[in-house]
Amino acid sequence: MSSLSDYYWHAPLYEPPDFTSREFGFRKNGEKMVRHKAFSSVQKLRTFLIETAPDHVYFSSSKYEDPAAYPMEDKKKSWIGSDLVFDIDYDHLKRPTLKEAKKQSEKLMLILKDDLGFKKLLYVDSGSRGFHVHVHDECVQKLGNPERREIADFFGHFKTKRGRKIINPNWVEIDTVVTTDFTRLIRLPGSLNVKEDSARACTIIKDS
Amino acid sequence: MDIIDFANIPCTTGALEYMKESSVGSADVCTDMAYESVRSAAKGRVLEALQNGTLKYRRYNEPAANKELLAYPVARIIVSSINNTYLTKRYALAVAKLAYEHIMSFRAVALGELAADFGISATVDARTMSATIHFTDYIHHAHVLHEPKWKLSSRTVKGGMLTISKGDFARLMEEVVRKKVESGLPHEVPKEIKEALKQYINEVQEAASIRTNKQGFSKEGFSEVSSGCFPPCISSAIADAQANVNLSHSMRFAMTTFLLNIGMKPEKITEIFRASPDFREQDTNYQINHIAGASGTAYTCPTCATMTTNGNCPGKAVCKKIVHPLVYYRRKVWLENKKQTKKVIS
Repeated sequence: MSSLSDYYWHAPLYEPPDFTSREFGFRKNGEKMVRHKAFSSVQKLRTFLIETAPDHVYFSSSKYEDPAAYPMEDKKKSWIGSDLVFDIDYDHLKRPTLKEAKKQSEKLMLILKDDLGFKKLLYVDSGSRGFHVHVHDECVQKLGNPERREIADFFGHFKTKRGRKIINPNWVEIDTVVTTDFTRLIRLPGSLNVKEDSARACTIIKDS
Repeated sequence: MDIIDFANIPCTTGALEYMKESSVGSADVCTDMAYESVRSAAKGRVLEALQNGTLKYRRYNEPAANKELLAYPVARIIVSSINNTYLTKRYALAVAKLAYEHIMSFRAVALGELAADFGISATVDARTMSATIHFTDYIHHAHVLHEPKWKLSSRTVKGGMLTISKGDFARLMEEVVRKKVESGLPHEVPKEIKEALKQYINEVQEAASIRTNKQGFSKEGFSEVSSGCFPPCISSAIADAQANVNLSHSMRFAMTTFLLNIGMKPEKITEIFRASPDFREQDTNYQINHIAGASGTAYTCPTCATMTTNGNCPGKAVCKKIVHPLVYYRRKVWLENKKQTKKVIS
């Protein structure tokens, strides 16, 4: 049995709310992603992880009546709602250091809590290049694409119609595509992020 | 809210309930001799919306308001029977603009009531008349408004709530009205009702078709690709791709969808990507064909707003009023064609 399987025997796997409505995806390094999987319990997921020992484990920020439906169009028809997700990757930053990513993600957490008033935040170290924040509040669940774009833009500088750049005090270098596209999968906290020569766990920093 | 409010903002739940309670059925209004003037008022409103884009703000007394409210479902039937997108949108917009004028006359309590009727919880300050609402309600309706002041980042949000002036709030409510009116149209119309309203429907239809022709809307796609008409975002992306610069994933997607949408062949698009540093012909072909609809979904080029969010808009002033890269292209092509015809004539 591989050491990856060993790890998943006792791994502190995160159980997202409405677990059974989530889609899961798995990938081995150098292979294609296998997605559109769903599990009836965390225990079932754990067994699957022990048996298949994937290098990467992802879950959907969206919830569906039929999370295993394929193609995506069919799955979208059974859409229930989606968490709001933020991703800060240090190699996309102007100053590409992990320290800067940490600083920015803390600023992001503050704005999400104090300004946008969110209560249920999951703050995660992705185990590789940065940080994720999942917002589980009820008020974000039904937001569509354009609304999520507005929220993503809340953290960016913007230009007036005349092309003048407005500096935004709330500026945080989030990956806007992750926040706006809710068909995406995000790394599951508690799973391992396996690279060629190393493996780090994706861990929860704060769950409120 | 009272009957006068319902007459001016007829898409509220309150107005609907009021109509249900009154003993008049919509079938009677469409057929009964006694309601001839209601039907003619309904036709008049639709024509007014079509021709002026607005409805005149009239001060009603109670009986007049009653009649106006009765005319609303009839007007909707007329619009539904004609089933012309231009007319539907123009009618919804005119109803919404009228609602805005009326809302501007509201006091604090009525403002709060109206918001509640639309499912938005708002606290209205009686003195300043500014309204405080949750930011998700705000973006839900404000995202379609393009002025910079409507961006969420232009507002001060504290604890999830934001406060906007009465004028802005009324504008937001106008948007709710527009969406509400438009979303229910066209609805099914029974044959006998269509028959009963025939003369009105024909009259509006005629006026609508004259107007749509004048607008010069053409349904056919783009016949040939004119690269001189590309918007700045796309032409700079193409230039980058050919100059060996690696494009972001979202920009590649935008460029590919754009080129496919305007009718470029997939093979030609592959050629554009050939100069990219990480070019692999097989993968590129697969992705382009996927975007073109090989898996059943054909994708459309992202809007300007999405392009801006993802940092793919060069923000050139030439695009001022453009909301979609394809709109830029369509207008430019149209303009070029017009120039060409002029040349031929002269």
